[in-house]
Amino acid sequence: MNLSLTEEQLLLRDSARRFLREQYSFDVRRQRLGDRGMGGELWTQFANMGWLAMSLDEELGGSGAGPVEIALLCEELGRVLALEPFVDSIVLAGSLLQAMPSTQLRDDLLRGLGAGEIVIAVAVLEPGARYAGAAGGVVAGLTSEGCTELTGRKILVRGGGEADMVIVAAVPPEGNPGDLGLYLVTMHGDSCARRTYSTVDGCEVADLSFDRTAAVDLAGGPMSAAAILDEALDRATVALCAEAVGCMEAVIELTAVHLRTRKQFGKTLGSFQALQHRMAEMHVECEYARAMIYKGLQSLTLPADERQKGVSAAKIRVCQAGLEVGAQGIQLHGGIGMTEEYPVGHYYRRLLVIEKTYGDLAHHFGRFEARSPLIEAQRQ
Amino acid sequence: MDFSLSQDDCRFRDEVREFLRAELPAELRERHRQGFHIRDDDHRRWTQILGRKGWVAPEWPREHGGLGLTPIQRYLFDEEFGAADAPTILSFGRNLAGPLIYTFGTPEQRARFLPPILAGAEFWCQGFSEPNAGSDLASLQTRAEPHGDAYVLNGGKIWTTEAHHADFMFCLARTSAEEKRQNGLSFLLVDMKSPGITVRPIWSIDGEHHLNEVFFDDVVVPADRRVGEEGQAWSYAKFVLTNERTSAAGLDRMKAGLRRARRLLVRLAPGLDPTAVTQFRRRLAQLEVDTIALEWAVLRVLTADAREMAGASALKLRGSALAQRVAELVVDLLGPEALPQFSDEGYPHNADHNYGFADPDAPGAMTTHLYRRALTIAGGAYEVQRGIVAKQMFGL
Ligand SMILES: Cc1cc2nc3c(=O)[nH]c(=O)nc-3n(C[C@H](O)[C@H](O)[C@H](O)COP(=O)(O)OP(=O)(O)OC[C@H]3O[C@@H](n4cnc5c(N)ncnc54)[C@H](O)[C@@H]3O)c2cc1C
Repeated sequence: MNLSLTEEQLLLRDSARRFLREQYSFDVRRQRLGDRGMGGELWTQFANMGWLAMSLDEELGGSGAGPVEIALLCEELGRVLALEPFVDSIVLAGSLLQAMPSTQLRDDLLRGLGAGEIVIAVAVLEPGARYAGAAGGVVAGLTSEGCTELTGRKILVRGGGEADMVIVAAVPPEGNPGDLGLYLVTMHGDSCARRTYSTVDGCEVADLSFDRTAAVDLAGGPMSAAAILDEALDRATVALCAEAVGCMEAVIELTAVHLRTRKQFGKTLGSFQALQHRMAEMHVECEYARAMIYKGLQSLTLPADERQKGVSAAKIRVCQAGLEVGAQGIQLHGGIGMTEEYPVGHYYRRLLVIEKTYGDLAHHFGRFEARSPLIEAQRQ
Repeated sequence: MDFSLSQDDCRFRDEVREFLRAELPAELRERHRQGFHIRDDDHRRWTQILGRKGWVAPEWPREHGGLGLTPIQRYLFDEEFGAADAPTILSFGRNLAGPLIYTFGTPEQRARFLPPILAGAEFWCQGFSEPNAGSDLASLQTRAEPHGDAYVLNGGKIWTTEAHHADFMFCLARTSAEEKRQNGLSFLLVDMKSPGITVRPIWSIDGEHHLNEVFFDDVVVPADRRVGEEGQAWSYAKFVLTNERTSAAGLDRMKAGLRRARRLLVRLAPGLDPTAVTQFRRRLAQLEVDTIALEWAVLRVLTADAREMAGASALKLRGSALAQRVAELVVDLLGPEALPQFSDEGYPHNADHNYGFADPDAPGAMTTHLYRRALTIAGGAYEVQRGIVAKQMFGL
């Protein structure tokens, strides 16, 4: 075993960090909060940097990178609180398509995705269904001509406001709630009603209402749609955990600087032992969270059951650390930490959203426990 | 020891309950129930309704226009507000400016300022903190130079809650250049409409405007607007802040939050994974147990000689952290549906536009959660309160 990064990986991380620091200052981000969106210039630059196609095969225009490279990049995106839906559109949508057998449609979509020419969103959540992807909120039907159409409502679809295509989880024709199929909807004027709004982290999401909307059934390979979605969500979850670690690192840096400069009672805040200990705890939390990224990455190479257990463990530990580090970051800043003008509260809000994305703590505890039965462990 | 309420107390409690049932406007109740910050016009309206009944500050002594409630009646009063989802009115006039003025002010100041507080006609803000004087309040720099029979105020305050709606500020300012720190501070009652005052909004992480920065540029404050003696404000401030011992616990807020969590859990449980139900159930029970402990700590402070509690600080330490956890539980129960950014503008007039909230209980939950991060910062930060307990109890 060797958990160190290769030269190329270090290079990727450093160049991403440099690029994002230059392009994505907090002020630039605040401006972008006003005119959000990913169709813009930066998304194109992401494409030019090769980030959007990174994990695609070479014949699809990619460089065949794996989850480690994705995680390195996501950590840097977290550090600057990038507003682009990289994880949803590239990691999640990309993984879904990559898990499907090659067809003209699938290859074109992946190529377009990697080139930044088309934006694909993934619609999973339904009202009142927490994290279930096909609770019956959207159902697929067949027209008399045998074409597929979708009816129902999806919520909190990241990037859904601007997407050219949406991959929708839905109950298949004749299926029961819980049965899951994956469908592709091409978004144009009247294909579905979308309402865009933002979540507390400033990212844009949309609710999509389908009403007999034409869709393409993406099934057909050896893997079931449910298994494909589950694995893609695990990949996206690990990427998101890396983003969270980037957020935590940024919070810790900001807080350390604040403690070194802010004075009360004639001393810097950093000279109070209570606060020194808190800083130390925050750092240790973050280090354990980082360790869990490695576990998460390793889990992606394991059979489904172990993968699910390992990824849930990572999500739990990283999100617990994130919420704690974020909240303490605000606390140690005092009043200034509560303001919109100062970055630390923005990191906290992003960390809150990450905890509730692709399954919250309760969801992942349930998933972990189900794979960790209370029988005496046997050593093989 | 007697665990029962007196007949008088029960009668009073029933009267409060009945009043709230009859007089609390339904839409105000609904907004409060959903966890929204009270809007200025609603706050004024509600304070005036209470004012007509003489209930803006019923715990004030009778000679100053209150009902002279006993501590336990005050507790019952607040409890009924919580149980009815009635907003409590802002504390600046009722708990701080009022007691400051009736304890240390002149008869003229009392006559001028107390009745409008009780009628809901004038509202106050608290001008203590400054950019470089937060936890270390005694290092504040705002200066009030004596000039004939007036003071000329220069400097500025920060984090001033509701300054943009307030008619007056009770302001700590330095009236002596010689003396350092606690000495040389005086209390001034500053008319917020005075020339030379600028109020700049500070938007907070819940996406709302409660906080402000206030700048004083040669603001003239008549000398008869100074409370008590020149240079003695530090001891007055300490008296006023610790006078308000038990509301720091925020019990009614906690109980309302727990009711909300319970309501949500009952409604959501059928659709939840059984292990999630078990987790949430245990968290709710834990917070309910903690709240019971807080409640009895409050009752002890109110009715027993419980000086060993380190009073206000002990209650604030527990109360603030608990209120944060209650808000967090509500958000966690809502799951992903707590995430949309809520903008209060226009609510409830366009309530049919549901902002992407699929759950009727969702609006306000996240905003409350975010703003409650401040509970362990404002009014004496958590770390500082701990220091006070260690010092008071053990001389450390
Ligand atoms: C929402 C909100 C509303 C407010 N409303 C008002 C208002 O209406 N009027 C008003 O006057 N003020 C108000 N305040 C200001 C509030 O009282 C101050 O924020 C508070 O006193 C902390 O000061 P600070 O923000 O400067 O933080 P700092 O004093 O800089 O503290 C930063 C951190 O350092 C810690 N710290 C400081 N000193 C020590 C020490 N000696 N040992 C260990 N740790 C220490 C603190 O606990 C905190 O975690 C409000 C604040 C907030 C957040």
